[in-house]
Amino acid sequence: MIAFEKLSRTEQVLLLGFLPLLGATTHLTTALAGIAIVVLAYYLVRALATRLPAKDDDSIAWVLFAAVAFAVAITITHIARYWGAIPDRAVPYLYLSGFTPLVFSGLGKGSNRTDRHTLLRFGLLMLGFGIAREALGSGTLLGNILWSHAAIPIGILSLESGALLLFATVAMIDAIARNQSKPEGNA
Amino acid sequence: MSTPFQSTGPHIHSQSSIARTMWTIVLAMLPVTGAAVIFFGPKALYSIFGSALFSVVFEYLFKRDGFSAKLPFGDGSAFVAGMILGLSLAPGAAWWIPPLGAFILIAIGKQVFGGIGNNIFNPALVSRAVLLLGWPRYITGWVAPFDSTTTATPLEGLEASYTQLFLGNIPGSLGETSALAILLGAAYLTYKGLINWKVPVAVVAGAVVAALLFGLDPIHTVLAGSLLFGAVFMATDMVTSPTGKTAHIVFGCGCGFLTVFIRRFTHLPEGVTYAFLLMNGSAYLIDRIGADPIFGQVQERVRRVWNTAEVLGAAILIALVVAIVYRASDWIDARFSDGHMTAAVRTIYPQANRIIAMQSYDAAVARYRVYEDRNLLGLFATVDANGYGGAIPVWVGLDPDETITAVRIGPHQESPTLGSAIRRTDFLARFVGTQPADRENLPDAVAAITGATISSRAVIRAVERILAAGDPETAKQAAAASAPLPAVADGTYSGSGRGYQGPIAVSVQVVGGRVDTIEITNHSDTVGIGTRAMDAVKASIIQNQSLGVDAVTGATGSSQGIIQAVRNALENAPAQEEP
Repeated sequence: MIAFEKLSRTEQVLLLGFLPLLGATTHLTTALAGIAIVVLAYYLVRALATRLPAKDDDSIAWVLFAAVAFAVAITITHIARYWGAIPDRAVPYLYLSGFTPLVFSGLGKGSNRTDRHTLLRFGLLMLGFGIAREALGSGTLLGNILWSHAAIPIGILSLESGALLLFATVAMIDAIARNQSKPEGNA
Repeated sequence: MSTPFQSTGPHIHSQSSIARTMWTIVLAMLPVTGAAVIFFGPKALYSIFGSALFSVVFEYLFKRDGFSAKLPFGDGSAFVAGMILGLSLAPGAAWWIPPLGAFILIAIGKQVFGGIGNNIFNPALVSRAVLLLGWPRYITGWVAPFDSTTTATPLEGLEASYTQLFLGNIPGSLGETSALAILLGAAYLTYKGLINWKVPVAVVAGAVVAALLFGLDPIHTVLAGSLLFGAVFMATDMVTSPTGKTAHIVFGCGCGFLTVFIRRFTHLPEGVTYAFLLMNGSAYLIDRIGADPIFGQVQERVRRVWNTAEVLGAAILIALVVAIVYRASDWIDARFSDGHMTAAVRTIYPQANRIIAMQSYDAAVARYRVYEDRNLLGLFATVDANGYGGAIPVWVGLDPDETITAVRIGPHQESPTLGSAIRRTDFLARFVGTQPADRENLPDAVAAITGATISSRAVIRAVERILAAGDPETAKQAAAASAPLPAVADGTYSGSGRGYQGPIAVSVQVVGGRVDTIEITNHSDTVGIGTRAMDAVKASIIQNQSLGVDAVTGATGSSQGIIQAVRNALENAPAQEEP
């Protein structure tokens, strides 16, 4: 739960970065492609940012970063599609997840707004979502059948709204757990 | 809090508090609640107060702070948000929508952003958007006022007079129908000083301008749907709207304009939810544009104008980049993702450079629209025919109203004589001009080729199947007819396939060229759902004399195991001579 707390509480804006990935983590493979997009685009944007002269207002630089991130997203999505692993419905979400790194790095400033392990936590969380949604939503893991059809999977989880529902449930369990472990009188 | 004061002085004491403000808003929503009860009956109370109370419960689970014996509902913000959600639901919403909506509202809309004051988007609208995406059927149960017959809303084309729209005896969401009740609430909130009347007016003005631009009736546009409700109770939300006075009015105009834009140019009948959410998201930018300068700072105003220009310029540039890259992605798609398909398409449309998959009701048939840049060249469909020696890819070109323009045969395993027979241009030309309606007559119109009966019949059946794939009913019939059992000599044959949990062995008895009985000699699938499915598939194969039967839902593995085992048995059998 540490991962969840750090991401949702300390960096509220990161929640927006989650949204496209929630649409794309239906399957473990798309979750992996999404994480690959986020990580690669993040490092490309950072590398670019350190080479640009620092300015107060960087709207133009931001457009450049957006273009880089978007190009990375499209390229990786299509490489993944070439192996036939990505369902059509997830494609627009994967494109959009190219923008997630911009949210990470403080709209392209490349500063140290996020600490070193944020990306790792983010990736782990997304992988967890991918595994849970694929296993519970369609009863498979990486497309391999996990359990008998008698154990009816919760189909809604493989839909976008199911992702939000799962996200909400995790947030709630996390909050309740922290409420209980909180010492008395220290709000 | 362990430290009582975290801000510097002066500390002015006032009656005003979050809780007091919230309960004032609840009072302002009572007229609309009353109108909902009058028009749609007491069940409305469950939707409205149920959502509100469930929201309070979930809020408590998330965050115990703020709840006490004196304040059993906490600061009241959850109650207000829940009530707004309840008022935006349809009268016929399912009973489980309020608790589910309240859960999403509190968890996703509010608490993951950090609780009251930190949410970027209006929590009630977030919840409504998720419900709209996930369970559209259950939240848009529109019913007529005073009786509960299902009907359309004025935005979906129902005729309603201006008086009806003003009073609210029309179908619609619980809180949105009565303009009169909403205006009463607005007047009370303005009197209490909680909202700036200019903001709702700005929303209405934005909507009227949009309506006039797009050629809609402005009065109908404003009174129908939840625009007024949103203008009074959502656009004025303190957390999710800009803080500057000018900015807030710009924000209002944007909400109204976007709502009408979405109604006019998308397939959604109502645009309030998404329009207001989009404007919530851009509240920060709008604040940058329109913030009022601090007294005496003229420089500041000039800088704001530049900021505005920069933001707009950046937005246009991003749109351009996205458009260019999106075009490029089409290009990549056509060349890589469907590489093998593109080659097939080019045998019929040599100049094609883009294909887009279209709806096919037959899983075996793939159908595409074929383009050269933006120009539609025609349709392309393909299916594998079951020939004498295996699958024969059949490629068909159709014009946009599905008349056949060309038929080609792909690479296949038929013997050289049979193969050249079905590739004869005079045979393939017989199909040209056939329409889906002529499907049944195809075998007569295109006679089979003597000496290659099985192969040519398979091609005819494949073309039939392609013509049938545009309609769910005919697609099902054609699928059953197109996978006939291989013709084998009489006798009893055994074969095996892979079921869901292990091998399935069958014994197939063929009498008079027809499959007479199928006996399952061994299997390890679930007794119950698995065995029932196997029995159903067995009966279906015998009845249709076809392997192109539907798998049983929930037991696809077992179903396909049986089909595979029967095919295996018949493949082991000595074939009848090719006539």
